[in-house]
Amino acid sequence: MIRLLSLLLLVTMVSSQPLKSPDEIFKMVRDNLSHIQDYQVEMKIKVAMPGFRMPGKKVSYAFKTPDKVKLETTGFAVVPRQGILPFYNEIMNDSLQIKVETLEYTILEGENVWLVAFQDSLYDQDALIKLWVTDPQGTILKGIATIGGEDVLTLTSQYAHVEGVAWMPVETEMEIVLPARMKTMQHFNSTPKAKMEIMNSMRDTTETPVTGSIQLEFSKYKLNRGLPDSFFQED
Amino acid sequence: MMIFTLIRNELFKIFSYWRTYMSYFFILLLVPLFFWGFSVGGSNIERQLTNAMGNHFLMVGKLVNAFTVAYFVLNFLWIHIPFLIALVGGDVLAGEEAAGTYRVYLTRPVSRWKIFLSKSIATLLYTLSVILFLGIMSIGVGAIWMGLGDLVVLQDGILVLPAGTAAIRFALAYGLSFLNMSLVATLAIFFSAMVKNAVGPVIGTMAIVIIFFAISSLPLDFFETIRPFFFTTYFDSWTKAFYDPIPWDYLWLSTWTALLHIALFLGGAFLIFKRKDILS
Repeated sequence: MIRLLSLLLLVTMVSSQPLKSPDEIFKMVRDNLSHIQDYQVEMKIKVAMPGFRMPGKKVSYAFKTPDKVKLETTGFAVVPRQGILPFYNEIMNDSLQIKVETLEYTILEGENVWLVAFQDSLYDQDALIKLWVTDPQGTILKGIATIGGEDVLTLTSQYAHVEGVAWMPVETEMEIVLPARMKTMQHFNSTPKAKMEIMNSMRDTTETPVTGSIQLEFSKYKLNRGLPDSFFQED
Repeated sequence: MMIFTLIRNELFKIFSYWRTYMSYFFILLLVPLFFWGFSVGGSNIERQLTNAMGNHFLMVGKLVNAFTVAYFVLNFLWIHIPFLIALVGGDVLAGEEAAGTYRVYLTRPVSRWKIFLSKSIATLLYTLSVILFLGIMSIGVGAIWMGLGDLVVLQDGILVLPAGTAAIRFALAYGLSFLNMSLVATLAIFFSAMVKNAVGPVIGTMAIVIIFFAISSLPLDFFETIRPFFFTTYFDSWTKAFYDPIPWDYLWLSTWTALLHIALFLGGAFLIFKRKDILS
């Protein structure tokens, strides 16, 4: 009974919370990541895509702000950009200028999250992207990109607080759907909500889309070790 | 024991002609050229893939290595290597007749079937040596030149085979190639048994291979129905060795087809050879 009452109270508190502005929400994400000057991590990548088949790969990844990247593996591998730090570039570069909107404050996997939506391009298409951002950690628990009424990319992540510096992903799963016929639309003037309704009305269910998934596991994080620029120079 | 002596003699004869070495020279010349070309322009392929996928994916590791080049080199098996195999196979019986050595050879107390068997085995050993040389030059020299790594194959999109798996797949591909090239060699022996000089069998073999290839690749309904009966239809079996999963049903079918044709051509050639009247 007490549990039920507590849950009701929590839901009431959550639902009665005034909506934060998208700027405030993205500031939480930036604040979390702003503690990182450089980092290294070991990644395990599993790809299960119909058009791309690769065995499980271990990749060493190093990053230094603003944009230095180094990857090492045995053989050959491809690493999905969005899977490493979800929507890092979009949020850190403050490129979300067009029609960003906070949709709701809710609970996802036991965490308080803000749901924000914005427009961007994905696969060279006009896409609507929704992000579930935890409060106050500023991590992106879930992201969905929609093109032509179809959710083409669903990204879910779990995080851990690493070395007391920042919340970093420990596991990310990307579900990718490539619709048989991908419809694009140029409605940059409509709000994300309005656009969502238009996209749903355009949804094409006549052909089966191609689906796949990519899993990334992160381990052995090393944060802010002062990696020199020479570390990122190619051999 | 006598058969081994006969095979040794036949091998000695095969390797006493300069044209036998053409296949080795061809491989020795062209394979390093391929490696040089890839080491100079290989990054172009990487750049193309990066352009195609770079917006969403980061590429890591070397895309072009000895396995990649060896995979491209295997394409010689469509026309070039069959021609070089036919040069030797077409001469193995007709060459004796053209040189007038049959009379002496067949008057010795050795049965015709032993002579035929030794000539066939020697030709097949030569075929095996060409395929092995191709493999050693492609993967062995390539490993020193470019190193080994994962193999990227285009099959229903992009397929990345780890280096260990790629090595096994290459062994399978070379095995299947040997079978297909043996088929070409036995076809050349078959024609060789019929005529008196080696030019005809070589042209005949290549004409059959090219015509069958052409018919096999024509997308017409009539040819669709007869295509399964052409041995050239299964010449692509080596490419299937790199598929995931491996289409074993197809590989078994291609193996049995090749074995059946080899048996037919050798059987036919032996019947002609056995009844042959040596008049000159």
